[in-house]
Amino acid sequence: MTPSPLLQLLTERLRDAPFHIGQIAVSPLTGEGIELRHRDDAGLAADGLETFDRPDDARDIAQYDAAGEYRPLKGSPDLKRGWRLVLAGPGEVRTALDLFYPAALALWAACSGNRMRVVPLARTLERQTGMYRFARNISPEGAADLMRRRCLTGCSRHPLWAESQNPAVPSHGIPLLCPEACSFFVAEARVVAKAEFDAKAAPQPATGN
Amino acid sequence: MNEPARLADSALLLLGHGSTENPDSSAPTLAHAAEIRRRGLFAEVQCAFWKEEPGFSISDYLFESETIYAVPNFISEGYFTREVIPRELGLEGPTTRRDGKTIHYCDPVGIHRSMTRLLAGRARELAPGVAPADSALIIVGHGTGLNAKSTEAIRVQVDRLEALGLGYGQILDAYMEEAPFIAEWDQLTSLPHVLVVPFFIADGLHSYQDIPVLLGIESAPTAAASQRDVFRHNPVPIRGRSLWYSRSIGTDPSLVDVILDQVHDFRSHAA
Repeated sequence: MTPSPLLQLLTERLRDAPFHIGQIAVSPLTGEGIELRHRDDAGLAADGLETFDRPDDARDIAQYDAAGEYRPLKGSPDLKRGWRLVLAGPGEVRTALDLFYPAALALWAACSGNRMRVVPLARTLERQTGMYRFARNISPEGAADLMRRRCLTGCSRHPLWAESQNPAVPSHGIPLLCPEACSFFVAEARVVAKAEFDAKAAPQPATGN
Repeated sequence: MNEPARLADSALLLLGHGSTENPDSSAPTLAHAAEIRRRGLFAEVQCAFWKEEPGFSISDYLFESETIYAVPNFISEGYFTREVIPRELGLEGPTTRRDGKTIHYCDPVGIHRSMTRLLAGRARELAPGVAPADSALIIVGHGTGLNAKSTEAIRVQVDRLEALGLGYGQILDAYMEEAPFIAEWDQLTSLPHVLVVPFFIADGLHSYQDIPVLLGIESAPTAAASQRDVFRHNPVPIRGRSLWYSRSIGTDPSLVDVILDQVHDFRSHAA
């Protein structure tokens, strides 16, 4: 079997230097092993953090925020702090990062290999059916505002689909790329589109002379 | 049981619904994927979700293998398996070839005939000391007027369980949102023991939080299963009977074999 190009890419990246991916700092340890921790915990002593050693522990760490709230959107910039995950090699790092940031490595590899297809928002909304069909009625202003609220401040991923031409890929660390509006965005676009529709349908208040 | 499909140069894509509200919805899909990965049957095993990440529409990026078997971890055929998944994955039929890759779209796990064996096993484990003749076995599903396939999958299972001659006093189907209603379980049977097995993929919003309220064993929806200290204890004495409530059938570790059976069956039919 041919070795995985993605794993080769990650192995090379791990050989270079410590790097960030989203809210996570990835650092090869002196001796053996690779450590993942929250980037805001970078200066803390290891014995002050709870240590995990299985790649699958990433799911438990990423599942709830510091207040115990479920994090369905793993790109949400509220990954909890106070942990370190010590892994044996690139294969385990890949498994863990796939749980912290699903598909992020695959999208990074696709982008590195010029295989990324960016899908404009209009095309994503046009193909929706059922209850999400109405999302296509969102105004350009409403979509832009939603993108600012949900994607630029509410998600660590970089929304390539929101950039009109030649989207700029962040060059530091391993970027979290978003080639197409996700189902979270589509669901909220439907809510905004309905609110816009209701606002237009509502009787206008009479203006006195 | 079929021989496990050994497909060392192919990939497996498990497609689940997921949830933005319940953290347990995607857990069985991820657990089954981890077990299949551990068995080393496929070059790659990945999951994609409708309501979680990674989304269905970017699942193309997940694989380096040229051949991908996509199996919906859904309980029945319907809107998701016939419309949403094919649309989001860009499928053109049972087999789609594009960009040097071949995607084989298998049937959803819930309609495989081996689900009957899982249901029978789950019912047996649920109330081991109780005489089947004194028991009614109720298979409960969602039910919706929008999709007849949703209830058909359960009626088929009830017929197959009857055909196995397991000795239960009654075997019934019931639903959350259409008749016969699970909320009226005590009117559907007069037997002293009632065994309820949810025909759902996960112990999520419906089976763990909604149905217990309909059964009367909770007065209001509880926290998610993973956020409570213990799973419920059986039996629950209620409405003059002993009620035994199971975890969802989709959480059964044997579902891994049903997933592999769907891949095997696809290959058999294609051959």
